Amino acid sequence: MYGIIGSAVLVGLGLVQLVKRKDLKTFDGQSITIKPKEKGFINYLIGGIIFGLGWALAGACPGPMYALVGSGFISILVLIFGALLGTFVYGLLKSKLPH
Amino acid sequence: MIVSPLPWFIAGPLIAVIMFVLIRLGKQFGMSSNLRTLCTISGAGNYSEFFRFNWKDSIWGLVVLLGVVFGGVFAFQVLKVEPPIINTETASQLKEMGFNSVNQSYFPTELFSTSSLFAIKGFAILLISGFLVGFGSRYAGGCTSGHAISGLSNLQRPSLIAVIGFFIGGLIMVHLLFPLIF
Repeated sequence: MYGIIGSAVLVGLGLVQLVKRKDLKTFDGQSITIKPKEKGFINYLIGGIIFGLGWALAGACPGPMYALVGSGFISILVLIFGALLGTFVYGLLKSKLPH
Repeated sequence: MIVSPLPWFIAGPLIAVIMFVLIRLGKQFGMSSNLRTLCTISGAGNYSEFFRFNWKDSIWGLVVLLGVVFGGVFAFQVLKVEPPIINTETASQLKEMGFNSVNQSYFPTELFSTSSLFAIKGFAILLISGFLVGFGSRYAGGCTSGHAISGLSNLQRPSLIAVIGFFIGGLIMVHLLFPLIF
């Protein structure tokens, strides 16, 4: 797992630098601006920890979750439903949470 | 056809290539945003401002999602990918916790089989873990793809904070909470 994330980030770093240094365009010729993340601390740390708890318990994050549907284990659908529910509840509570 | 899982040094860079292609399509790599889009399509905009945005601009993300589903079907049903072999020490720890399906199934069948789905504990674990993933990724503004891969590749400090959070949460779950749950 560390190998996958680590090598993805290393290669990703190189590719993002390539886009910036060579001023690469999109395939249809438009210039590329990669939006910086908004400033913040609490939301990133607390949100990240909550995510991490679920990540480890489920053994899946929001990308692979959909790939696992293909395995035929219908339990994955409960996991995805839970993720939708969590997203929905965040939307309800957003204004009350520290960001 | 039965194949082994791709080694990490192929799988990881491939993920980065997907990010690169999405950037060059004028998009960004982030999977958890699709959960918000799906909430909006289901009418969540009636309950919160957060879901009031033009979801039609995010359809491309759902197309990626559909591609991931098809990729999963292809890997599991056509290529019949073998279960990954887990570090021997981790495997024996998992067996002590009662996970006997280690190295035999892609997931622990103790959690993901249909029979455990109908047990309260199994169902609760799936629902709660999904909830934490959905809630946490939106609170943090991204998940492993949006922060760990895209954000870190672009040297974003917020993403580093989020990723540190991911691992704090993951380590707490595995080392402190697993013994209580299993």
